[in-house]
Amino acid sequence: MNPSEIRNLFEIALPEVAHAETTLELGHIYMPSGHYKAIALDRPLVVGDRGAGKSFWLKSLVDRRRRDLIGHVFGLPSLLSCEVITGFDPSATGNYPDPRELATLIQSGTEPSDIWHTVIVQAFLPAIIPPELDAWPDKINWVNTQSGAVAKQLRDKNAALVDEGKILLIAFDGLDRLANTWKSTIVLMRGLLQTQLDFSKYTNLRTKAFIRPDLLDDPEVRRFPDASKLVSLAVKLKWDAIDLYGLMWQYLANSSDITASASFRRFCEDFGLFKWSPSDGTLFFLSEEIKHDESRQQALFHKIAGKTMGGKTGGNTWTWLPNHLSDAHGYTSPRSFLVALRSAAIDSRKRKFVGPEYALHTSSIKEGVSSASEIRRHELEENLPWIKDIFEPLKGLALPSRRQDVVSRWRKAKTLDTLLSTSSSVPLPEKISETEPGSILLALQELGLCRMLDDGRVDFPDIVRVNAGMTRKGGVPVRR
Amino acid sequence: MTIRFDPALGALTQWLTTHTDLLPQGDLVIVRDLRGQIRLIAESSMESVSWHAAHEDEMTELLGSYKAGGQFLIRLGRDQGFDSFFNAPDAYHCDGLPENWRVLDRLITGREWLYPPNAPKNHPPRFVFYGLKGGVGRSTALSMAAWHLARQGKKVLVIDLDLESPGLGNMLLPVRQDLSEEGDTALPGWPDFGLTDWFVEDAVGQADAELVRAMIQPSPINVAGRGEIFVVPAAGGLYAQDYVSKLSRVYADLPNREGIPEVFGDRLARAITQLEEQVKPDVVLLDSRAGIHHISAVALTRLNAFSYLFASDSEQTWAGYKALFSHWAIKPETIRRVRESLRLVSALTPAAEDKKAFRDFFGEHAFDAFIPLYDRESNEEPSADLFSFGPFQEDAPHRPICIWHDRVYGSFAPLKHTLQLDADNAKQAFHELFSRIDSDLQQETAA
Repeated sequence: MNPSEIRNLFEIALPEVAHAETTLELGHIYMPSGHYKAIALDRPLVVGDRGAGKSFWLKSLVDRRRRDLIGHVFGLPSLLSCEVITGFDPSATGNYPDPRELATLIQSGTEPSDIWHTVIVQAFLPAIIPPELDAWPDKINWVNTQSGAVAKQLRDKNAALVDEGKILLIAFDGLDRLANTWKSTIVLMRGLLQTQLDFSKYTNLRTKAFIRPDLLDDPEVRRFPDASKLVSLAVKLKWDAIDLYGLMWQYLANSSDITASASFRRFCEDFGLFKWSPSDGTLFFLSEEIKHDESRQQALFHKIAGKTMGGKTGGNTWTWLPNHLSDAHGYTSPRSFLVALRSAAIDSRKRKFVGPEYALHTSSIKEGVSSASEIRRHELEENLPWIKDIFEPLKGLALPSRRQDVVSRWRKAKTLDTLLSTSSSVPLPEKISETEPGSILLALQELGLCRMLDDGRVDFPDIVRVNAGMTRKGGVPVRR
Repeated sequence: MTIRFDPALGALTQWLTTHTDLLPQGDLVIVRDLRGQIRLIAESSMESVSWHAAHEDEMTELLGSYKAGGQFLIRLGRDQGFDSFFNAPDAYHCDGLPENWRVLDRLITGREWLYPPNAPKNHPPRFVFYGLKGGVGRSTALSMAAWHLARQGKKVLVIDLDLESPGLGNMLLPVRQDLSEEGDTALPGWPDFGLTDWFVEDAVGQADAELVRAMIQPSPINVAGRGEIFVVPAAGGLYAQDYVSKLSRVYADLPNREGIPEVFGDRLARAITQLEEQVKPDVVLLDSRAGIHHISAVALTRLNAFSYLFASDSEQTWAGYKALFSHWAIKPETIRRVRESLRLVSALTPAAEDKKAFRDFFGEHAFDAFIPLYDRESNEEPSADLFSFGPFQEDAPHRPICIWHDRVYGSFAPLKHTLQLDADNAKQAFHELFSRIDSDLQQETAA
């Protein structure tokens, strides 16, 4: 493939900025090595940042075709003999109370663990609750009064599943949208974790919750006996540089342009760099061996983008994007990575190359950060709708900035009032106090969106800084 | 109120930005002399119709004792010496003043910070090791780097530029012994002459190939294969020599053989080139002396070398680097030319540290010193191609290359303590430095 053909493939295969929703193309399924445990049925908690793949894996588990494919391709036989039910997902309807019903239940004094217990019982024993009981308070009440009989049926069901060699899994996602205040969210979360712990005695009736790290980090969530038993089993959905590239190869090898993707796979194989294992002749997956082989993946990327970012400073093209796209916790969202590369490919068309021509120009890779920053803003606003009001007043701020300069911008813009008066489906972090705009910084810090320097100044990682229109300090005037 | 040195020049340039029409419309230089006193020198063909005696008085008020005596505005013809001011290599343009105006700051030492580079087009890759303060493990790191490169089969030329307190020779050449009784005239295993000799011999036209050959000695450090370390010490091994009288002549600006005046840096560059021509090395390592000094000015800004800046995490160090970089900022061309080749090294990092936390703290503290080197981003024209960095950015010049200090390297004498040249020990402590040098070399040879 010549550089221009590779550029075209990047443009077709990789996602655009415009829509941030997760795709569900089978060919886009990529399993970073750290994600196996997250999918495994014996792990009750999966922790992942925004865009790390929580919903992606939930939807993949629920969908029979995807689940089977994952079981086959990635060697997870237990997935082939299981059934998965959704226990909460604000983006879909199902047999669980929605946030409004949850709010009413909490207000009327219902124990959160009783709510989840009922949801789970109903999922595992669909026929047990009398069908005439339609409202959640009635169902919960019935399950509570029949607790002995319910427990026996659960034991029987579990035994039957053991005999059949099958597993039932109930999975929860979108838990940051359980309620519109942080306090209620935490209370409901704690109830869910308690219930999950209760159910951990069943070998073949399993639960799994996908959670944002800041939720699980709140000490109030863990305030119940033996919480550590559950929390110690939590798996983090990590995206190391090698995983991000693995995902990219996967997209390139399985694009809608079948011919281009076929040439790309040959291009990889011609260099003796990659092997592709076809599942059924239409989908192609990166072999396990290559998945862990950083030097070979890096060599291929260097063929596409050159080895260094140019100048004497150099910088490896391989590490450059993951570094520049990561937040203050070192996390890079896979989607922002793919978007950055796609826009880099498009931008590279109009660039002049000094020396050999590559598919990606280093300047274009740098420009890619701004597209990535844009997609990251979409992702953030989708998950944390109030974030927009926080960054708007910071436009033009030169970083790193004194704490009081940041806070005074929020004070002037009355950001705190806006945040507190706007109703949102996602609660404000509890860290944000009603009287002190500086508390916003604490919340951002916990979300990995800002970083405090040793001397108290504030810095924002590029991935949020660029789109928010904040600049970097420097002593050298830029030549026009 | 008494007007002090620092605000004087700024006050004048500020005043001038709003009064440019008073002055001749041709080439003009603002000169600050050795006392720090300021005057204007204008090219004489252009008359100024509006500069009056009253303005001279105004200057006295503005500059106080920092106004030069006599006429403040002097007119000189091009043949009367105007060009020697206007075209001085360290004359620079000041933001806000007309394009054809320059500022010339007469410095006594270290004036070459703002000079243009003087490296010939083709020279082997050069690495300068520099520390603002001494005692930060600079020479040890340089010796280890030389050993590492030699182990890859490279021919390494190592030059001691720390003339005021030479040390490299003692690390890489046999230990200095007392006068032997058999009537030896020079230290065994040392070259007769050192870099200091080159300067005195050059002054009388004797810095020839013969001298240069007698300045170079292969190090007895054992390296398997083709690799070799050639050492040029500051002082040679002759017993009978007066080092101090030679040293005090090194920095003189003397005309070269064609009678063209040369500053110290030009001469140093010639010496290095001669040594390179003699040895034909794959790579040259230069051990620059510490401090804001003549030699460091030349080594860091004029030799077209990669500069490894050694530092320990202390207020003093960062204040020093900041002062240095801020001085470069006077002439942005210097910064644009030099900044990409700067790398920061933390050489005395306790190996037991939490590595990530250490790097973050160190880099964060270094960041402020490095800001003068980075592009100032503007709101209106965001561009990804700027040389600008955040405090925690991985590939930024202020992010330290850490040498994880091990007790083994406590007192460095590799010829005596063989454990210091144990590949595993070396890798443990120096792998970050080694791999950065390797990638710089790779980059340089590719380009």
